Amino acid sequence: MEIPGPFHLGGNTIFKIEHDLDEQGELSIWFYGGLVVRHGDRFDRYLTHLETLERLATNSSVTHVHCHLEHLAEVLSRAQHAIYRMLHAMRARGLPVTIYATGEQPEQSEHLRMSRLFVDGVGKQPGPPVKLMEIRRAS
Amino acid sequence: MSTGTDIKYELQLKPLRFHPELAESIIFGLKWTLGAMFQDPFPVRDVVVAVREVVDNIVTHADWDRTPGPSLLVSYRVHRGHPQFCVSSANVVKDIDEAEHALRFIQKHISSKTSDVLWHELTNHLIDSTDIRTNGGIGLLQVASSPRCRLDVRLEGALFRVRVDVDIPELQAAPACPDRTGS
Repeated sequence: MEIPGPFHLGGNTIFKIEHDLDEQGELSIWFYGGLVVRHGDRFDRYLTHLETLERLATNSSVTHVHCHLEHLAEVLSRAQHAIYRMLHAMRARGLPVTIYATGEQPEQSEHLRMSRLFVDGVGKQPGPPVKLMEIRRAS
Repeated sequence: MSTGTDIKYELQLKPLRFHPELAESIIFGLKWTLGAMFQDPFPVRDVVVAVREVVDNIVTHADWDRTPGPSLLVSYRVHRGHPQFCVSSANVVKDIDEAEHALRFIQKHISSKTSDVLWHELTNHLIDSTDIRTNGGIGLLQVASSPRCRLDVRLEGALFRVRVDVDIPELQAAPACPDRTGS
């Protein structure tokens, strides 16, 4: 399948998504910046990009997914949920997923809380357990 | 005569005017202001999240051409020694069926449920269910899922009202810096 490029939200925001699929089949995804407005077209492109990454993970020889949220800033709940839906879909196909939510900013307390919830929430679903790296306590 | 209420911060926008940078300016402006007011930004995190989701709700669902125009109020008061944070909004909806659906969704999930239950329902919902593009109410449900937030949502005719009371008993203002000159 065609490998998608990085995603840039555009406008005045620095929000972007990068990914890398290495030779060992490890897919790393990095989220940067904030996303606080849906603005139909831009938000739809964001959701479409996550769906493309989901297809990339499940249709190619990916062995492990690393999702980096350390640089994710102020983000709408709906945008956060879209990330976890993507990860859940990957896990449901049997892929191990590791979430890194270890930043020091206040926003990270929310991402960490969502990460923890996501891990607990999918604990009863098929697939290997998720490793949650946590070096700070959520507020 | 004193009412025992000390207003520390109040932001009222009435009516809001549609602008591409409206949400960013409100959310980041509030965030910076609260960051300057308090020593630790973590306790007021729920307030920022509430404003973020309420403003997103307005930007996405308001009918900007009808009166009354959308409005937003954010206030921080100390009443008899107790800090009270409140975020409220009102807007005419552009799709009443969609608003009623979102209202039912929110009421169903927040009625008589603890925050722990809400969190798990939220997770299950986002994983199991419908198209994230069209499902209204997710953001406000996430606000309600915080143990510090009380969410009240109403639809009065075509007017959608949201109120979020945030309980932050440990809140402390940043100390005054008497030596600052302002330059």
